[in-house]
Amino acid sequence: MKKSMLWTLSFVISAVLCLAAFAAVMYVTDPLLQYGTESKLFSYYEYGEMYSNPGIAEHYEYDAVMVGTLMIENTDVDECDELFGCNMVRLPYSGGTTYNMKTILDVCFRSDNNIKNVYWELDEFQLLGSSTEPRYPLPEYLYRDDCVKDASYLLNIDIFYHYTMNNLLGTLKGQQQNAERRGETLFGVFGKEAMLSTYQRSEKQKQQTDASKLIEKVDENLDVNIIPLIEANPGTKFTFFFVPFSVLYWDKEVQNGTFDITMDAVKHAINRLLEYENVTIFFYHNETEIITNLDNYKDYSHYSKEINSWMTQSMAEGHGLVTKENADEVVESMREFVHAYDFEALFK
Amino acid sequence: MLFNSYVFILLFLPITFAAYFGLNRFKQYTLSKYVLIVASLFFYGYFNPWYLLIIVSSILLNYILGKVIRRLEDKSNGLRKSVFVIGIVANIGLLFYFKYFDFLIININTIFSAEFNLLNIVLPLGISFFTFQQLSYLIDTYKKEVPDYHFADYALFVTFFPQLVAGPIVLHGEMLPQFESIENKKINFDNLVCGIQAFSIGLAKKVIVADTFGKIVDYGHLHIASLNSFEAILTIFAYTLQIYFDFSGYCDMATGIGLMFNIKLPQNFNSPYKATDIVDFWKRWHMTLTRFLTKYIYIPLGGNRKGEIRKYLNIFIVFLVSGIWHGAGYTFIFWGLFHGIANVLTRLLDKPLSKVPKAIKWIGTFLFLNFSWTYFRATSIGNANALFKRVFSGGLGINAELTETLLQPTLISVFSQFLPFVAVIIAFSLIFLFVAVFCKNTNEKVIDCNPKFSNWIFTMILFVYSVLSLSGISTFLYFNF
Repeated sequence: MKKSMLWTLSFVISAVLCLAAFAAVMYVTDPLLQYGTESKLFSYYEYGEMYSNPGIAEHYEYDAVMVGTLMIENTDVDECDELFGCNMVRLPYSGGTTYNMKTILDVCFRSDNNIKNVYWELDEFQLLGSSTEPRYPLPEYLYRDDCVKDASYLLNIDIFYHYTMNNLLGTLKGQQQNAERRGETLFGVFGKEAMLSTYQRSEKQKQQTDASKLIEKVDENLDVNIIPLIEANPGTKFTFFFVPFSVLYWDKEVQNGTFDITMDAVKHAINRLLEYENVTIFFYHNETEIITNLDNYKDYSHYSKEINSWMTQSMAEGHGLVTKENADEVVESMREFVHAYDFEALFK
Repeated sequence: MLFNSYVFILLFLPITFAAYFGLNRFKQYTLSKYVLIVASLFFYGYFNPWYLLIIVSSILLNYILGKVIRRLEDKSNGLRKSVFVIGIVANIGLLFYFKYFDFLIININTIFSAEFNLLNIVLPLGISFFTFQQLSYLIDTYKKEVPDYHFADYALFVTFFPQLVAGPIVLHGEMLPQFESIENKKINFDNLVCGIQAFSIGLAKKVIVADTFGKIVDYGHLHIASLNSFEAILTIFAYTLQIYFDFSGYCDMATGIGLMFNIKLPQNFNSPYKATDIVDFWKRWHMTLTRFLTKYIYIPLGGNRKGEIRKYLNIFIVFLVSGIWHGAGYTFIFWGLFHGIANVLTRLLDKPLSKVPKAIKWIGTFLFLNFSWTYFRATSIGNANALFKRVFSGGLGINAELTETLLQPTLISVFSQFLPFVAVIIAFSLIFLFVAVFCKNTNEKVIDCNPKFSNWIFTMILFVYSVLSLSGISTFLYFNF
């Protein structure tokens, strides 16, 4: 055999064997749960939701999903199971956009599960954010369902180094950690003093009156990422809930001159969503007792696990329910409260 | 389709290779050519099927115009010239529409305070490359320098996938005879040895080197206002290295794939950062673009035949065109202007510069390149200026967010276990500057690529490690030009 032929053939065969051996190790250890649920043998390294969520969405057995931002990070999934009578997985995205939610819900609906309920923490960041981009770059291949995913995952030295190796090290050290997170995962110092120290009040801006741009953005997010899911899954009940941000959040909106137009946009979103029979909405922005007690927060938006628990119970009891009849009234009551609130007193 | 993708490396390339040489084995030479054309179109349409409409129309139009110009060879000169002008206008018009129309609208809106809506035209990949190649064909046909090509040969010259989307800018005269040669229709293991080496080196340059620098560059240009001195310098320097390793890595892969198909593509890079002045740099950087602009713009403008002043003006025009060709934006125009001025000055100061020690000249050239690349990369001239200001803002170290991003690639992560992170980043940068300045380039290696165990091992490590690093990396910088 000619030397160059030997060089070439041995190169091609060896390269294929090396890659196949690597893929086999990845398949067996499966650190991101792409081929099944977690193995009892392994300890799962903490690697961020955008990596672990798609595997959970695809392979776990469940009939309810909760999606949202860090606002659901402290939601107790077991409590939800008990109070809602469901079997839930929680799939949060830090600062997630509606694109994030749509992407992961597509994986959920593609799975073998019969999803009866979607609980979707919806907020102004999502409604007025990007409809086409995730908040942080996603490992998009993990959300696909084709051989590109397999190749990108199985032939990926960075996943091997960062996740497989850490899983194996954790396992060898005898640590036991599950891949799925069901309890409190957002920690920090809560309390008025701590949260006020994180807030920088901006100068008061001119009050904006034209809400049309915001409403356009809301429509874009609804039409691209939310309503198609509602329409495509009539057998699934979509429960959207607006969480109780602290009054400081609304102070920011007032100072920026955007509070009123934001409320217009929220009202518009609620009214559009309520046109669908399989949609339920809960509104907790106006829970004045909670939002004025700054001890519940670690910054202007993130609250402690007690508030998550309170929301779970409230939803189970039907408290904060928005209907077609009371939708406008609910939003207007929020507007009135904020207009009347003495924000200056907070900074004295 | 990207060269640095699983679908290309694991499916497209092996299947196309087998189909092409399989058909040639049974002497189906025309069919094999069409298979290569269809494969190339698939490669191109994989990015966006709509692009196919543009490239296929462009090929058909130019081929027909070429035929008409040829038919009119013995007839009225006026008509022949008209057809030729229509062809040139159509090609430049197509390029202008897709690449510059929105830029024109923005300028009109700014100057006249008008409010014309932008068309948000998506730039088809590689349009600048395939338009230039076909312009050269039309011009040469008009100058009666082109034999009568068969349609399949012409279509293959334009679409041949290794050079389709980012060059090198090939000329018909150097490609078509190679497609014709019967000798090239057989698998050539000597070429395969060289091709696999060139491809693997290019892949590693892109995936391991350029994309790591790319993380610094992307972060830096997105967070200009908060960079400290060290981060600003790192951002500027990293882009100088990124663009070289990215673009030359792409060209190495193209060279390698070409060789696998027994086609020698022209050299596009000859260690440009070894240059000791800017004239020298342009003999080494994107050589096929320089060749094209020299042949089809500089020489028709009169070259150096019409006196010194015209010569310098012509050089200046060529660089301005080069800037505009690279993108619709003032940053590219500035970049072209800087290079035009630097080229003219270098020639004017030839005598005094020849007395300056080479090392000093190299430093001056390299600093100028860092300076001009910053405008090339920045999203606006203001941002480039702001980045330079941050160089003097003080402060050392690398912030947490950038550190986290840079720790994603395993290579950096592993070394950071044993060494201080900043030291790893500095070492990584300096090592690849050293490689760019002192090591043999891929074209030099390809000349000396005899099958040896040492280059087998070296290539294997580069190839396997690069394939395992493919996921989640950025696209080629040069696709948008």
